[in-house]
Amino acid sequence: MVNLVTSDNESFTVEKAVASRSVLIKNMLEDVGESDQPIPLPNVTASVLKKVLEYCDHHKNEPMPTSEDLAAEDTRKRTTDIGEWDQKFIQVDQEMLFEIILAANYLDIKPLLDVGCKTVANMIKGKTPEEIRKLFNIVNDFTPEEEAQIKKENEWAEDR
Amino acid sequence: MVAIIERVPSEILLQIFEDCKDQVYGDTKSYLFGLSRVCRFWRSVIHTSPTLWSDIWLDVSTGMVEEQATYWLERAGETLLSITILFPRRGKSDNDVRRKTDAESAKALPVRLAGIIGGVMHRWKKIALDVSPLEAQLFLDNCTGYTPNLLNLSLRDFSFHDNNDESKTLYIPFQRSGLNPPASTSFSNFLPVFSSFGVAVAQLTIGATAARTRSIHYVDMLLSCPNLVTCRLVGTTHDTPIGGLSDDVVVPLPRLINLQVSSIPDPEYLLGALRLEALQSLCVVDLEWGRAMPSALRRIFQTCGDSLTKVSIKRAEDISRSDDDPPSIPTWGRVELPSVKHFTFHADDVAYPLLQQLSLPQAQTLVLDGVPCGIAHSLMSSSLQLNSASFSDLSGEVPQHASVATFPDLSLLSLGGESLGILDYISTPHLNKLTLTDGGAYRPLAGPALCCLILRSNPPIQWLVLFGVVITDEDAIWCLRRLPHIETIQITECPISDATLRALQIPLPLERHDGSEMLLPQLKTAHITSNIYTTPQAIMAFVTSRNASPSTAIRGTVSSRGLTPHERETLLLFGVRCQA
Repeated sequence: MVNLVTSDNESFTVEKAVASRSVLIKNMLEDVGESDQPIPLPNVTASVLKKVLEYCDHHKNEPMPTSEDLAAEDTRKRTTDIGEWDQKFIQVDQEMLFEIILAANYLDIKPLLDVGCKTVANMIKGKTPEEIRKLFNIVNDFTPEEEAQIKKENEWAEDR
Repeated sequence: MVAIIERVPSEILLQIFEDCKDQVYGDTKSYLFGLSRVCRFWRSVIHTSPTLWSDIWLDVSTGMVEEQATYWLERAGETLLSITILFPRRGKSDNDVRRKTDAESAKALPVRLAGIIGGVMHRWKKIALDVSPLEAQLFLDNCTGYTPNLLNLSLRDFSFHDNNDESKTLYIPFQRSGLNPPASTSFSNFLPVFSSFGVAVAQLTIGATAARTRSIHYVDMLLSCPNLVTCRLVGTTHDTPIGGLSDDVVVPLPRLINLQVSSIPDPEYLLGALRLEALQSLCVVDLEWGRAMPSALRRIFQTCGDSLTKVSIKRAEDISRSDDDPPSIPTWGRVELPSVKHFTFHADDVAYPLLQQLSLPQAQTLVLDGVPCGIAHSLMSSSLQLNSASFSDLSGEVPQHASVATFPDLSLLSLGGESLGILDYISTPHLNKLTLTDGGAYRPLAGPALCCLILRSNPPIQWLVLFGVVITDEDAIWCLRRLPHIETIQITECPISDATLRALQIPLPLERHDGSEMLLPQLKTAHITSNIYTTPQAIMAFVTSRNASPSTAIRGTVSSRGLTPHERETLLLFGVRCQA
């Protein structure tokens, strides 16, 4: 078993197979060998880690992506399909969605990061810049002059 | 308060944008420009991420295409490029009227574009052109550099072609110094001839050349890509022969594994010139061929006998020969194809001599259409590993001296038309699915042949189809009594009467005491349709009887003729559909 401690000082004891879905934790465990020492995760809160561990537990028996898999992914179009279980898993509020993405990135859980990014991509699909800003609460920091300039630069892409 | 998405680092944002891009088919510029207008950070991530700009889509009809190409290439940095260029489609009137007036601009634009795009040929990963022959050659003539990364090349010509046009080959001047990475190429209405890039062409697909094509052009094309692994040649319906070749024309394709040729008239000239060593799959379909075809096929069979695993040869239907000479008397020896697992052949008397001498010892699937019964029996007898056989419209009869062959693995047998005679010469102890169908106007007598097979083989048939064949009630009942494993049965357009349906009902308790047995105890699905001697009352009685108990309930289809609306509703409740 592995003991993980979150940024808000909560402890989680999980199977090694579950924790090792995180390449960061897997490497730590390999570096320190057998140890009862808790592993601090200063960038992840308890609520987010709980969710991440739920994902890791569900996928614990699947093969880890190899470096060949990752290289192959660079050369072909990634599929935008998300598995049925993953789709339900990732149905969370926007705050939690991005927290999971950030945690997956920090913990180096590539499949979870992919699920999160694809979900955000699906949310963006077909939306105008204004609709995207509204969806994610992004401030439009372009000046009117900059906007006019951008539009002019890309005029051959407009309304085609 | 800072939006949480603003805490997402640029590398993750880039991955999200890549995923967005992967959802876009075709032109990605609207999506990229849209995202870059959300905020300064997004714009900066997009403008500093060359991979987002590596799919270049240029539609010449939208104008400013050179500016677009230049802009896109600047953004793409040093990434490998997927380039699509759509030139305007030209109709007949365009070709006739505008050919001269547009000549200058048509000439200028492809050349100018090639000047921009061709400058980065070493980064081409994929290039696809929708283009007329004139513009294609102008563009390609100016792309003569090395393409070490090109994996995919596609050229399509949608311009109008007159039936009298004769195709010219399209010279592809791309350079390549080695075989790797292998490239996949696809051409529609073009016949390419490659320069040194040809050594890397592993896959070649030629689709429907709109103009007439000559054998020598196919030869020139194939000679330019000697390392082909997969080749698919699809011609048109032009019935002009592709022309002969002198005997010294030889096209060695030692790596070719998969060859598919269809709709090319008289393909024997082309096939005869090929020198193949590693062929695994040969598919020759929808063709009219001449008397040299068997020799061409025999040469392929002899040189690739050990590697061939799949052969499919189908001659075009409704083709009448101009000469009526009988097939020549064979003088060849036996030709064994020891590795062929799947063999399909559709009628052509020219090839009978070759078929007679074929032996398929490892065949698992055999599909024959329109060959003599004797040849079918001979081929089948050489293939004792068969697990699936399908024969239709066999002609003549099996020679009387032929012996009964046992097929211990045969589980699926389908016989159509005049093919039922073969049943007298086979034993199939593990047959699971049997289909007997008519051959159109001919309605073969199925009863005796089916009885004979059952007596000899006692097969555990679970799936039986009788479609348009002649079988009496007596024979039908006799057969069904001996096929207790049937789970699915279809009897359509057969002369059975209510007697067969009554036999299929569940016997009443009183009848059981009389020794009446229940036929087809495992029946789950029945399709009883279009049998003119059955009455609606018998159909209702049969279905109702079967569905009186869940253990014997059936689903399926019956004829709606004569059934009342109430009866149809009742049937539907049982899961039995009515068919007009």
